[in-house]
Amino acid sequence: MANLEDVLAGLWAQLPGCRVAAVVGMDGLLVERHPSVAVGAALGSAPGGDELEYLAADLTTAFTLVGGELSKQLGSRVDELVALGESGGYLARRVDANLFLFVVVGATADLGVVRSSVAGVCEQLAAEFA
Amino acid sequence: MSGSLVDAERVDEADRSDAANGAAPAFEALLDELLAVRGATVAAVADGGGVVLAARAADEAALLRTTDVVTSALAAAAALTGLLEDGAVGGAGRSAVAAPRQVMVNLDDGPILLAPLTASDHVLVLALASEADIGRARFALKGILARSAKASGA
Repeated sequence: MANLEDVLAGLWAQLPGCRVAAVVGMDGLLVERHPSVAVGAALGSAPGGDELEYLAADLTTAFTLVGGELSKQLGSRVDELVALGESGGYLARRVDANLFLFVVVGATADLGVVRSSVAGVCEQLAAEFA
Repeated sequence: MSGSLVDAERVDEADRSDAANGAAPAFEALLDELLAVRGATVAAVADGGGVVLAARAADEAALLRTTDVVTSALAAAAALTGLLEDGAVGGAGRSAVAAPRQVMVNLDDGPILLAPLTASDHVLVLALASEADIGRARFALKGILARSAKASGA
């Protein structure tokens, strides 16, 4: 089985403008992140440890809320959430029933590339965890 | 993980069963795998009474701290399980919540995860360095328990 940290490191490296890539449990707990808190602090661009944990918990709540009513409206499960701002954005995608992957990217990131890369990694992880 | 590994097998229980004696070596691979989880400081297997049958730790102090609280933590977990099974939470004698499959005790020097081993009354104990390690440890524990259950044919 691929090391989760290596998978995230690979995703982070292939996405220009990616600040952090992380896997979070549907219970809101951060499972793994890249870069690590120490390396992220040194780089100065990645969210800190506490900051990312709050973000992970908030995204879990968003997934749960959106996955509830919006799923009914759409008639299918919500698998991806994207939030964009002037200085960057978040993309969160469901890996399986228990996990989701999210990336925080800067304003220079190409959303199309981010989406396809994250989707590819999620498929890989889902296959490994199945 | 750096630091010397400390192996511990508590033998102060005069009536320790043969099964436990025989089980300790079988736990070695499991404990090694648990301790390899980043953030784990102690990995142990305890019986239902809280007696630590086998343990591995990054340092002896962490091992002592954990073994000291395992009995109390398991007693608390058992009490909670009893409460849920009796339906006290749901009221009217009906259980509203299933019995817990995992219990976490959050202490000042780091959380401790307790999870029953499938097909035995043994409990896996995993002490962690900080709360930030809980998600990773729970995820790893889930995989390790699933593989363990598969290997034992449970």
